[in-house]
Amino acid sequence: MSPDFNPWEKDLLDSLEDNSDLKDNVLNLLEDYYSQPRGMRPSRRVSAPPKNLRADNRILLYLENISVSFDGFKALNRLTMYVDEGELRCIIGPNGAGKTTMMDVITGKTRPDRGQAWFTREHNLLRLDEVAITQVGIGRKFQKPSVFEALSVLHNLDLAAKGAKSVFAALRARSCAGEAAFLEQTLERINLQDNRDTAAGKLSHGQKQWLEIGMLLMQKPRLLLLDEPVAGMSPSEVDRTVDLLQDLEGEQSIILVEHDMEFVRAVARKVTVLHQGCVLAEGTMEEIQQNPAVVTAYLGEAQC
Amino acid sequence: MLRERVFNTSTRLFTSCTAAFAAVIAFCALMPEASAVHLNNHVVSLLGKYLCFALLALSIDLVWGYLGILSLGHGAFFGMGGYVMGMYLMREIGNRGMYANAELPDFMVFLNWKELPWYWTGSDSFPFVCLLIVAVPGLAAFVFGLPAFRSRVSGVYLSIITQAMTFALMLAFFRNEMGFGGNNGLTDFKSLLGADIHSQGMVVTLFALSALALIMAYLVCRVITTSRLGRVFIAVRDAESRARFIGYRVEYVKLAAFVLSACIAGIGGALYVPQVGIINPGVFSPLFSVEMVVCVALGGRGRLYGAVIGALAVNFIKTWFTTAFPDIWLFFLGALFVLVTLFLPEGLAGLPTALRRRLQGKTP
Ligand SMILES: Nc1ncnc2c1ncn2[C@@H]1O[C@H](COP(=O)(O)OP(=O)(O)O)[C@@H](O)[C@H]1O
Ligand SMILES: [Mg+2]
Repeated sequence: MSPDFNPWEKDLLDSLEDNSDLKDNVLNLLEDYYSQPRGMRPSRRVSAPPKNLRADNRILLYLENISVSFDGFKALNRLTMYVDEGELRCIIGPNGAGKTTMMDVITGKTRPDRGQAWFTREHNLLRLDEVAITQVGIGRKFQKPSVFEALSVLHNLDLAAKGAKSVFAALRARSCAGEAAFLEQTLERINLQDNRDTAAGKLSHGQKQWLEIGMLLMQKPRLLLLDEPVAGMSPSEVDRTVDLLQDLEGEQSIILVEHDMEFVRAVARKVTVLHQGCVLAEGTMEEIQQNPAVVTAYLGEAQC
Repeated sequence: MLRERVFNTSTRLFTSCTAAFAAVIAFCALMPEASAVHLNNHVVSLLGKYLCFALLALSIDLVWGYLGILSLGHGAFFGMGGYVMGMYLMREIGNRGMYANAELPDFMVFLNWKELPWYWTGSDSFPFVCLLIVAVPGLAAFVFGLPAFRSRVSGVYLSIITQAMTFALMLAFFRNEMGFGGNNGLTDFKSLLGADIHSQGMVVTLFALSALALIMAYLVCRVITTSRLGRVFIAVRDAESRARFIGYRVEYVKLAAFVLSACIAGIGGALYVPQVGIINPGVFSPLFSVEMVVCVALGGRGRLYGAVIGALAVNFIKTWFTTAFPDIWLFFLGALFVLVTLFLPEGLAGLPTALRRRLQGKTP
């Protein structure tokens, strides 16, 4: 007799087991909903911005209760996190903690099973595709450096430059469209001014990482997502990257996923520890290091 | 500005060589028959046919060499252009056919059909047919490409479905009820725009048009591949996800290139039919498409002129080989493909660079 509730509705009803009034109410609502013919049911997709995302606060990225599972394995488990405008946030966590998956959710590459993801109060990230998310101002660097190997450094940056990106716009555009000064500035920032005409495939690993960051900067994003940007860099390259990030701080909000603790200590103000798909701790580096849950997580098993 | 961008050394060399080649052939064809350099119509048409294959190879290179889309079914678009042209030529026959039926092509009379099927409407109007030559393959590529690229089918899977597409078309066109002459296809053409299709003037004109079409298509491809869009193509080829994450709608980029490529292939097919005198479902055979891809690989992909060199070279050899040793042509082609892939990964067009490297003693 009871209609087929979907898993999260069952979850909800289960969690209301000890509050029978509320449970009856919810049950009635659900049954009303299901009693209508399929095509007549109102959309249940949330489209209003979440309530805690008020106009007066500075939350730029809002992730709440995000769950992602791959064949039953929960890569993200009710992850909740807020990032403010202008913040440089570090995410640390052991391998497989779900850091890359979190970035996939933010950039629209992976759709979560449930939860909400908003970019400011205007953009419901779960409703946008990868390209639209890029256009609202989120730039992402992949874990494995990914540049256009056959093109020169200059052309890599030029392609990434903010502007119309339709097929016809690209066909009409002249070789280095506008913004030449900004391009020069970016080249200098990522320290590749002497390699402008080198094919990107010929750059060193570290230089490719910088080039990819440079391509993101060309898009003038409001939020930069960097997935392990110093992996495979030499110590001097790491130092330069620290400088680069400190240089960017304040201009752009940055979410940085990193393994290298020295590096995190050098750049981060606030650190979030991810473990088994959810947030284990959040705070300054000192607070994190003294947190017993974090210590056990890094040593072995922990519950969150 | 545009001129500097498009006309680099290889483009200047390509256009002047092709134009000179065409001029020499046309000149020889028009010499009196007694002359030592005279070329007969048969040879001129054969060369014209090679140029049409070169157009098809060029169109494959545009999507494969620049975007990494390996289509194993481009013969389908070539065939569509060809069939459209064939329909026009059938209508031109008029009452000169075996059954002397002014309305219906012979094969329809033979099938006891009373009237033209609706899709033959307008096939007697040359301007309309010229439009259809690009519109039919273009539209087919759009209809096929839109869902495929949207659902992000790529790599081997895309190759397989392009192959399936051309195979399905072949089976369909084999059926007499399709109204395209079935097994025998469309043939016995008499005239084009009222002029005898076997006359020397027509043969030379068709040859010259093929050369012109090849040069024009080459230049259009150059304009595109040297533009910012061309760099977007390469970006998509090298790192599709990165291209998407800097804001390019990869599916539309691929679709645009695929449609343009199909249009070029269609023009190739349309010029092929009057020169060869027949079009049958063989053009939809997967083998034909694969052979053209092998031409591009042999010539060297991602350079445009490489595809043209490959198509000309392979078809010259093929013509000779299939008369001398018809049974082993496919084995020979396979062996050639393996050898070139092993020793000349950049194809024939990469030969000069490879030699230069060898001479300078550097390992490639
Ligand atoms: N596409 C996928 N299919 C199946 N499992 C996946 C997929 N992507 C990630 N995972 C799994 O999810 C977990 C989290 O992965 P990831 O987000 O890459 O971790 P991190 O970046 O923190 O090292 C890992 O155990 C990984 O094996
Ligand atoms: Mg990762």
